[in-house]
Amino acid sequence: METKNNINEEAGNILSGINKENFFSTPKDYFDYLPQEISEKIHSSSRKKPSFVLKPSVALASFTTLCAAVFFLLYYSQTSIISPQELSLSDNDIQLIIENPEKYNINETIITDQYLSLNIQDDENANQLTEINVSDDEIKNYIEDNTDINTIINNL
Amino acid sequence: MRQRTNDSNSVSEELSDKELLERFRNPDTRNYSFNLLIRKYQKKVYWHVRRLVIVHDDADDVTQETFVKVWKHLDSFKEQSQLFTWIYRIATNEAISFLRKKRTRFFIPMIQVERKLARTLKDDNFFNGDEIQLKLQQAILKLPEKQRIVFNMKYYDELKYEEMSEVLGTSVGALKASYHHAVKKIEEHIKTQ
Repeated sequence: METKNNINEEAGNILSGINKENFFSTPKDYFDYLPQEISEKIHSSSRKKPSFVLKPSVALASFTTLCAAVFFLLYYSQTSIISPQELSLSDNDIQLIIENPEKYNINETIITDQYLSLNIQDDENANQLTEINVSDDEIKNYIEDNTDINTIINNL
Repeated sequence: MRQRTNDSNSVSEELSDKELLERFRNPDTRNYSFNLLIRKYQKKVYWHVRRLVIVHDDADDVTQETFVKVWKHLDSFKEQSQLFTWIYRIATNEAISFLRKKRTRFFIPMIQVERKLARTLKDDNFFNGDEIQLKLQQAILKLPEKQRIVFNMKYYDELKYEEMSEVLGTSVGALKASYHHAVKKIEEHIKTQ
């Protein structure tokens, strides 16, 4: 069993000669109030509401879903096209659009492509044009009636 | 309003650790028994911590944190060691953590934390020692962290090596060697100063 004498011997000669009295001090009545301060600290920490903590797996799934939703929204907003058959515009509406293109943000390229892809029937007159037959005499008479021979000679 | 109850001091000293634990496990007497536990061990814990962190305000913080942790984990205390040894271990770890945080907060090595403390000790209003006491404290602060803890526990707290072994998780032989080296270094420092 260790005694105080043994401890002093173990401590060495110099240390043995030094007063072991406690030369640190505390504020007045510190230990009288310390228990209450500790109790207050314990009960204030237990009153704190737990903060909402999102599990990493749930957070990752939510984030992925959000990214996918944003991507699809952006993708479809750029590629969605309303075909002329779906778009019901009156002649007045069309006139307004043509006169104020900046207000309606018309993408002419899309309209053109869409128009060409629809195989819209040509005008009836255009068909008739191919069926017109003109004789050589009629062409000759037209030219003689509608041209000035002197003008032709001067240009040559 | 703070209440000062000196009667609790005498009551707590009379109750054994076993009785304190039993009363703590009873929800009706939990708070009261913990108050008694604090009064029983507050001085031992505080002075152990104070000798490590030196500054009173820091020792106050660490002591309070120690007892908060005791409150949180006392239900899971398995009584494989003495209650005070368990509390002592928490206090030691809290003090070490505090000193390490101090180092990382200011990006300075641990040894310079102790040197800074040694310099401030001279002007500390809560240190009343004479010149030789100041030299002794400065010599202790120059020791490596573990050696300083061993020295304080042996020289000031007068713990047995077996008790220190429970607190620090180090063998008795290693503790004896550590204390012996600490004493030699301190005496060398005092001689040269």
